[in-house]
Amino acid sequence: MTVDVQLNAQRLFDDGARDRDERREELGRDLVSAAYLRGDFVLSSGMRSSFYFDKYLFETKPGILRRVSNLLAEEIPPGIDRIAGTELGAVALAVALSLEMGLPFVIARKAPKGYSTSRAVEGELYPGERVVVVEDVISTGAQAILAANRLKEAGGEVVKVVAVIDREQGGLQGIAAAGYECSALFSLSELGL
Amino acid sequence: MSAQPLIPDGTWDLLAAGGVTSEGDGPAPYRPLRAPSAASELVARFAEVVRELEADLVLVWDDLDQIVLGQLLAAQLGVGVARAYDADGLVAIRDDAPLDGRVLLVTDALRDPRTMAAMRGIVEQQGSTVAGIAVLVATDDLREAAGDVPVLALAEWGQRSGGAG
Repeated sequence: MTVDVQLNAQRLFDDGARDRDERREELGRDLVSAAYLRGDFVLSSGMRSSFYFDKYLFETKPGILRRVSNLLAEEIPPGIDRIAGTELGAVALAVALSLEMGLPFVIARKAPKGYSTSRAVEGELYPGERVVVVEDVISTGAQAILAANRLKEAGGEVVKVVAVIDREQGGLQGIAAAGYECSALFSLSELGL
Repeated sequence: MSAQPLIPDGTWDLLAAGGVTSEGDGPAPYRPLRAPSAASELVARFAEVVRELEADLVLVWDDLDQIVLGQLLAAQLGVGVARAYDADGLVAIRDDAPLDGRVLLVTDALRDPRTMAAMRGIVEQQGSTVAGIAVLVATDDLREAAGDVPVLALAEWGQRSGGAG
C-alpha cells in the first residue's frame, strides 16, 4: 500500500499540470488507502464507530503531504501574510503549505503551556497580518474556532480556515457561524466513508 | 441510589477553599491544590457518599485537577486510578491501572457532556462496567447526561441552603 502511495506521489509530482479534479480524486483515494482504519473505536464524543480516519497516517507521508499542500494552496486567497497550523497534526500541513507557498507560519496551541514563554501562538505574528488557519480534520470545528480566536486576540486578521477533511459533523457551518470563511478539500462522504 | 444525601455542614466551605462557590451559572472548576487539607477532608466525605457503589477502579479525565481529585478519592476507596484522554478524536486510556471490573467515573462537575460520554464509552468498549458517576457538585445537566447510570454527589447545585455550611 505504501509503495503504491509513493508511486502515485512521484507520478503526480512529475505531472503537476494535470487537471485539478483528477489530482484531487487520486489524492482522495490515497488518503483513504493511507489512513482509513476499520475496527471498534470510541470517538471522543463517546460514540462508537466501526472505522477511524487516522490523520497522522497521511500527515507523515511526504508524497501525500506534498500533494495535499499543493491543493490546499489553491484554496488560499491572495494577499495572505501567514499560515497558521493548529497543534499537533496540522503543524505538518502548515509546514508543507509554508514551503509550497513561501509564506511563514505560526503554530496555534490548543492551550498555552503554562510554563516557559507560555504563548498561545508560537512564532512571529504581527498586528494586522492576514492569516489562514490550516486544519487537518474538522469535526465540530471547535478547535479551529479556538485557534482562529486566539490568532485574532494575538492581533492577526483571520481570513479563512482551510481543512483537508470535513467529517460532516457541522464543523464547517460552525466555523462560518463564528464569522470565518472556511473550506475543506474533501468530505468523508466524498471519500466514500 | 439517586436520592441526594443530606449535605454535611461545612461542605460548601470546603468546596469554596478549592474555588467552588454557589454563585454563577454553574459550578466553577474545583482546584484541590489551592487547599490540600480542605481537599483531603472534602474527599473523605466524598468517599463516604460513593463507597456504596463498590468500585474497583476510579476513572478520571486527563486533567490535573481531575487527576488529583481522583487520586485522593481512590486512596480513600483503596482502588487504582486510570486516566482517559482525547487522542485526536479517539478516546484512549493512559498506561495507568487497567480498566477492569466496576469503574467509577469521577469528576468535580459536568462541563462537557462529551467527556463523560467518552469515559463511559471507553469503559463499555473494554468490557468493564460503569459502577456510577461520582461528582462533587451535581447539576441537572449531569443527571440528564448520565441516563440510567447512578449519580452520587457530595453537593447539589442550587441547594446551598439547608444544612450546608
